[in-house]
Amino acid sequence: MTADLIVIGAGPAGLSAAIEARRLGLRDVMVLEREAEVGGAPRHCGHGGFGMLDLWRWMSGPAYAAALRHRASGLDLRTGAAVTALHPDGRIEASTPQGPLALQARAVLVATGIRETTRAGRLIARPFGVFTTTTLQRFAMLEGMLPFRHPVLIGSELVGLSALWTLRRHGIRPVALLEDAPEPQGPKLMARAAARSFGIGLTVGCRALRIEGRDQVSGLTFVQGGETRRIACDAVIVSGRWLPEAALLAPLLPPPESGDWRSSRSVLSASSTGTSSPRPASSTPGATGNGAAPTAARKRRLDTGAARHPPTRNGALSCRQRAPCGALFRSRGAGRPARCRQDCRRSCAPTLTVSSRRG
Amino acid sequence: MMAGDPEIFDAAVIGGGVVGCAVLRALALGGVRAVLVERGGDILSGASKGNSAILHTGFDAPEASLELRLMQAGRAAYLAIHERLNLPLVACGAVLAAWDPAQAALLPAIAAQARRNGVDEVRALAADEIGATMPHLARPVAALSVPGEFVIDPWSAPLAYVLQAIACGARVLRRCEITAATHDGGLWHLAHAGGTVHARVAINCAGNFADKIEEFARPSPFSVRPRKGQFVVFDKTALPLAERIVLPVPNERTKGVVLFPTVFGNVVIGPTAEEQTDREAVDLDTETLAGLQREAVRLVPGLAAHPVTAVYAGLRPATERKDYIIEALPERRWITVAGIRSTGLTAALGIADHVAGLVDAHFQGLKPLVDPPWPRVPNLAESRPRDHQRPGRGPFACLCELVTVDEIDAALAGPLPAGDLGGLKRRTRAGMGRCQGSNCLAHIVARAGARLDPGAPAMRT
Repeated sequence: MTADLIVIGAGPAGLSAAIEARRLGLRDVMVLEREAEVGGAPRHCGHGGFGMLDLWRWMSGPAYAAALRHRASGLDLRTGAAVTALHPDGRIEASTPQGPLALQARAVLVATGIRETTRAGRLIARPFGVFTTTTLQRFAMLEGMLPFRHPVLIGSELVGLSALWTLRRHGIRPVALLEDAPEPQGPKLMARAAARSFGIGLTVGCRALRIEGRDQVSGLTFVQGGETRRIACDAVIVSGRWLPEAALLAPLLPPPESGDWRSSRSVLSASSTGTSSPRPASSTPGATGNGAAPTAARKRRLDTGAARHPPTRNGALSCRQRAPCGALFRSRGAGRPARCRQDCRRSCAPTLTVSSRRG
Repeated sequence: MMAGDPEIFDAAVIGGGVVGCAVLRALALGGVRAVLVERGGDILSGASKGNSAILHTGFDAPEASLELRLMQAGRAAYLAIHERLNLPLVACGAVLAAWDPAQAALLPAIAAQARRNGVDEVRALAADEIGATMPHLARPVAALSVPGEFVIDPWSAPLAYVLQAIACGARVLRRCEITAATHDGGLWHLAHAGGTVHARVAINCAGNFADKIEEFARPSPFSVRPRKGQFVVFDKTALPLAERIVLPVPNERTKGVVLFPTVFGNVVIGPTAEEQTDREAVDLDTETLAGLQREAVRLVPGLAAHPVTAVYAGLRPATERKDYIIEALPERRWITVAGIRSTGLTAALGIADHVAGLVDAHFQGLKPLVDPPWPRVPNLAESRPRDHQRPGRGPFACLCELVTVDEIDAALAGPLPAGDLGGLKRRTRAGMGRCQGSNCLAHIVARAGARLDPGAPAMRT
């Protein structure tokens, strides 16, 4: 089976790219999504802040996901289909409900998004009750349950606000809000929202030492300013520190010159232009209307090895917002690329170029 | 049996770790009516839940030890039966690397010991062979090739043993901690919170609690000194960097920190060897884990580019003695199986046959089943077909490990459904991938519902 463009991932970035590619005239566009439903992370972000930059409305995550689904109707969307291998010549192996599937694409867009660093990635141990924001929201929004009452929230990136809003909606007051860096990592709004909603402040500069509890979390010990303290809690939510969901690309990319590109936030630039400096991909589903942000969409020209590609040419998608995938969300001024912000151009515009590479 | 009569078993196996599971199987295959009692919510809740999943050759085991004999018997038995139980085997082989001249000087003695232990294929690697064998390994001073060291699935294997035992008539009781035990000359009466188990022979396979259990039969001649091992699991993207086991030069106390691939496709480093008195606390600490991560990068520099997927720790039930402690007390109608340390996964089937032999010699003649059933366990290894490749399968429950909802449902059904969330993970891999359950935990807890106690009060909102 062949396609002009195969988009891997049906979150906001992948869906928007597929929609845009169709609008620009690509006929065979296929979207592969491993989950049973398309829409990506906004499906479980049960609060406002989505859609402002592309749909020009303030929407909740689920409403935004539904709007994207609606706009994507008619596209060849394959759900329950996980890509198991991605080859340099555009061949794709996928596991689908109908069995293994071999596909051949002229171009592949990897829009597999990002994930939060888990407690394991932070090298901390756990009994039951240590969750990422993603898990928290999936419990609350998709399954209608919350397996705790008194959580501690670690991390002050923007996604922490999303976690706070989810907790507030379910009537749960965090017992503490901790950040290991010496300064808040997200917008001031986050700390203000915590103070206003729950009367708790953000405590910075604390390093989690130990999560206690055998079956369920019973407490958290942390160090702050040389002093060891313990708080009783029944869950610890570790939020943020986004990582690209980039394993599919690992065999295709050259080894990093230094450090850990697969878990670094420079992966987008590393894989697309090879030139730009690392920049954070730390935007989150949430407050700024940057609903697309958790998805780091990337395109790699698979056959030539020359990933460099001029941005915003004919048939290209363009960029309006800071997040690496933001380009995929611009919709106003149909057909005409919008201007990238300066800090975005270098690192993300090339990755978003969708060209059919005919001939 | 009349209703109301207490059920009397021929043998009660105390402890559902890999050793207890294998012993139960050997007894059931020998026609013994056996029951397994496990204190945890599922089998493999103690020492057996965190090990290095290596099927050892015994090349470096103490000569003429019971441990060596049973490891080699257990290994041979595994190789003989794994296909019939649908258990994987990755014949990856190992490289034992010396990183300084002092270590290199020990290699000839290690090779000589391997030959005395009957592991003839251990040999020194020339410098260019090291590079060819493990191109991503930092260059050691010298190295031995140990081609017979393999990796297996450390959780599906004991599950298969216990499922075959059940198919042969054995019983398994979980959440069943023995709090008191009396012997009236004929029968053991093992009391737990839900009742009493009556058996003609009691077999102590209690791992980290073996000395406590032993006290029911006699003043324990040994004491368990749990040895904690912490592990760091790298992302599956790292597998091409470490497709073989990298062993250190062992010392007196421990086989040392090993870098190894898993049948699931990850790369793991560990274990540490930390003595402790607590038999349950398997606390991990960030400093030690970071040290393991650094050690892995020292061995294979390319690992620096790969994120950590998981961290875990296990407690090896070491005692003050070097060798296994396996003996029958005929007058007490008791068998002790203790001090089975890190080699237990390899040796389990050998230990089981040995224990069955003790039962046969001292207590009850075995009547081996003529044509026993061979239930096949679901495969979780990457090297064999997995459920997600089956046309008509259901949607994914776990996206990272490609676990289908059918696999979840199957693990929650059958003769020994998963007893807790940990058991479900070990049976399916759900939640063990790179997002560590971020995406699937909620769905799985909700799907399992009342069938599973996740260890947490789930609350409807």
